Amino acid sequence: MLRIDLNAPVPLHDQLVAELRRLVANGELAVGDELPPVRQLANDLGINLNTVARAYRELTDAGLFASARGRGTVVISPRGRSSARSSEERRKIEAALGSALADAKIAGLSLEQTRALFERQLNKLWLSSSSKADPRSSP
Amino acid sequence: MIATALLSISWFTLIFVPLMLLLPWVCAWRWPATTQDPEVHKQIRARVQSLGGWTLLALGVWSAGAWFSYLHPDQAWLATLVRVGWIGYAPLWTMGTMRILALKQPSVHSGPSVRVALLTNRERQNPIQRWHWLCLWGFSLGWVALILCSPNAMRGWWAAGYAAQVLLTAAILPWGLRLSLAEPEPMDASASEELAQAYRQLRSAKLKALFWLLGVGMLSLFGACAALATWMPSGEWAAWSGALGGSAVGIAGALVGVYFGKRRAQIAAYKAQLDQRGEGLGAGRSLGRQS
Repeated sequence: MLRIDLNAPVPLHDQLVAELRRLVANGELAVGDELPPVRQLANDLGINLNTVARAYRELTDAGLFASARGRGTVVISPRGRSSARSSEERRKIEAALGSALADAKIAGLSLEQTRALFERQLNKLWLSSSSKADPRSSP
Repeated sequence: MIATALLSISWFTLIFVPLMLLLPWVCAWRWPATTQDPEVHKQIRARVQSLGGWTLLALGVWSAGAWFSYLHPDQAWLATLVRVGWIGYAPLWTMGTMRILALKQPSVHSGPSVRVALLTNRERQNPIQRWHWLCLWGFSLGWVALILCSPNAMRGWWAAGYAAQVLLTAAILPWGLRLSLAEPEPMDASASEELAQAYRQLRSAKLKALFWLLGVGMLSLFGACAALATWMPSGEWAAWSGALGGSAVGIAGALVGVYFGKRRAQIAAYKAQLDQRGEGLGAGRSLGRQS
């Protein structure tokens, strides 16, 4: 399921993109899965149609989704796709991580607080996805 | 004397105008409330009472007008005002009922700031299958054949007119069904399975009702009218069946609309309860017990 918070300081579009990325990373959205039509998701969340359309477009441009004839938007990027291992992709990820950590430092978080946040996000992605793959591996 | 005065007004005016003036208050009073907030309930009660007062005033003014119209039959303008007194429902409805209904049934999204959606593509769960469409086309072709077999010289025109209606319905209906599939189905924070199931049942019943009523029902009615117009020597048969059948379809549509409105209100109330308690499955009353 997809969750957004209207009162969060993060823009809705960014929340939507982050949530969809998380669902793909977790395996909740698998390759070939069809996403709900833009109108349906916008109605269910009570947000503007364009916000959803923009998020879908951004993730399509990023190579996670594709528009398939007669099927709408589908997930195309498997976890651990070969391009993610390319040096260019790694550099992009490193830059994004660096930017997020810099934001944390600017916001005044201590090293320990930042580490705790980082750990939480790591656990959220890796533990939840491994528990989906093999229920016995969950802690 | 009062009886004579009342009889001097047509039965239509006598029944229709007071009913129209009462309608806004009755709707505001009887419409189910989905809001859980006791403060809002207090506000609703006060507004319903106030609307009741305005309704009584409107009825009083209209009755006085009717009485004076009887006393002064030469004043044609007064009689006209009495006849069109039903227009009084408009301010009562817009200024009173609509505000009360908005309080009683807040928007489906007026819950907590956290919004949750399931990622299932509902277009893939369309309950209208191929056999439904085969029924629609089968019935329609049957009516066309019946019209064409008639001895009426105008049968070709009747068949062409009916076929145009069938094609128009076939073009518009899928679009209407798709819009219905996109009707909001906001989930509670824990995405309760019972809530999802209630949405699924409502969606399926709603689409089937829409298809059978607007698709098969309406087209069968048009087909029957066209067939009667070509087969029967008098047009009266077609007129009567059109009037009765049209009324039956209209009443069925209204009943279906009221039923689904009530069901939506129940689901919204259940979701509000889940949101309030922040619990998932099994929170408070279940939908089954509510209905």
